[in-house]
Amino acid sequence: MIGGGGGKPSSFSTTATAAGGTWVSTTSVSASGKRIQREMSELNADPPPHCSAAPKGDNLFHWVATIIGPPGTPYQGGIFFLDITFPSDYPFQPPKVVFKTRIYHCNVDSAGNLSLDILKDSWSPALTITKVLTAIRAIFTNPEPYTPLISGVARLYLADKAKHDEIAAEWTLRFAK
Amino acid sequence: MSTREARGPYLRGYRRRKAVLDLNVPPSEIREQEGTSQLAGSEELTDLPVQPAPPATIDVEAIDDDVIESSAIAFAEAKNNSRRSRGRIVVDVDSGWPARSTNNNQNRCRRLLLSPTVINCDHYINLESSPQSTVKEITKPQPAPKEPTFSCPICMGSLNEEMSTRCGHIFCKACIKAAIAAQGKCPTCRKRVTVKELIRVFLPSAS
Ligand SMILES: [Zn+2]
Ligand SMILES: [Zn+2]
Repeated sequence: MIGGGGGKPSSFSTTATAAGGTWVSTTSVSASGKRIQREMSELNADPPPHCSAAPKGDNLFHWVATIIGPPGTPYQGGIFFLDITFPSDYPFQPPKVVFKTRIYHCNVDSAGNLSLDILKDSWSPALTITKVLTAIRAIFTNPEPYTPLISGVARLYLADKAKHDEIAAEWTLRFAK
Repeated sequence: MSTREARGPYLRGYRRRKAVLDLNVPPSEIREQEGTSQLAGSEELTDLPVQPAPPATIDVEAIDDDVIESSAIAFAEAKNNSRRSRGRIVVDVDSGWPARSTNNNQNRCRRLLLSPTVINCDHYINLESSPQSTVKEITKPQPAPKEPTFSCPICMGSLNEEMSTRCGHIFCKACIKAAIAAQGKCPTCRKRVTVKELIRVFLPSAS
């Protein structure tokens, strides 16, 4: 049941097992669960602005989050849903975050996957969901067109930002409101 | 620290009082300088152990007024009166305020006096201890400053067999070992670290 979300990138699986083994065997089996619970209470006590996150149901390892499009961006006023899956050896491996709401953004593909360094190589176990959501919201304001998932969108962003923003605003209206 | 030796004669005369005066709280010095009955109050502190007086006992409003009323002459007098405490290194054990000498305070204070608009207790405190929150802490009627609590950035719980990395970041033993196994990096600053380099540290207990 723990980490039932699966979908862990294969490149992580070797180290993930080793790390999880060490931590779990020297502490309790639910060390990951405890850490997620602590993040939950931290989120409740001090929610990040314009974001929310909570477990989907009974499974502590599967959350739903929302981010409200920041003002001054073509995503303004949109409500974007995200799925968060914690690996069983969280926080030693990053959570998997997927957009459930369509978004016109060079760092998010049509399946909702996003390219964000802290969710890959730059992950640190000292990062939290709050920090991840804050980082995602930051790329709403400042997309990273030089590390795109959709190169067409990145090209348009760089070449004709007005046109890019027009399409993005249209998508926001269509899918996120 | 060298000023302490240089001021030897002054120090000796006032050693008994100085040893227990709570100079962590800058305004209390101003109180004494005014030569009011407050002085008796601070004498009473002599009987107390090294425990710093809780900030709640400082009447910030009153001190605020005192400071505004001081003139250049009053300041010079106050400066002389307070000479005995010069060179004293001030460390607030509870709040972890940085160590400093009163010499320094006076230089700062003088600078403040040149511009009447900034003579105000808040600014005074603020200069001595950079975080804004400290000012709030003092103005609020709290019984005592909160003891710092340390938690592990990895499990977010209380530290268990805390160990320090080469870069000085502290985690539970099990947590940092697992983190190094996974990434070989310090979770806080991302410097490369190894398990061999970890050292056991013992933090003061926060009871
Ligand atoms: Zn820990
Ligand atoms: Zn470090």
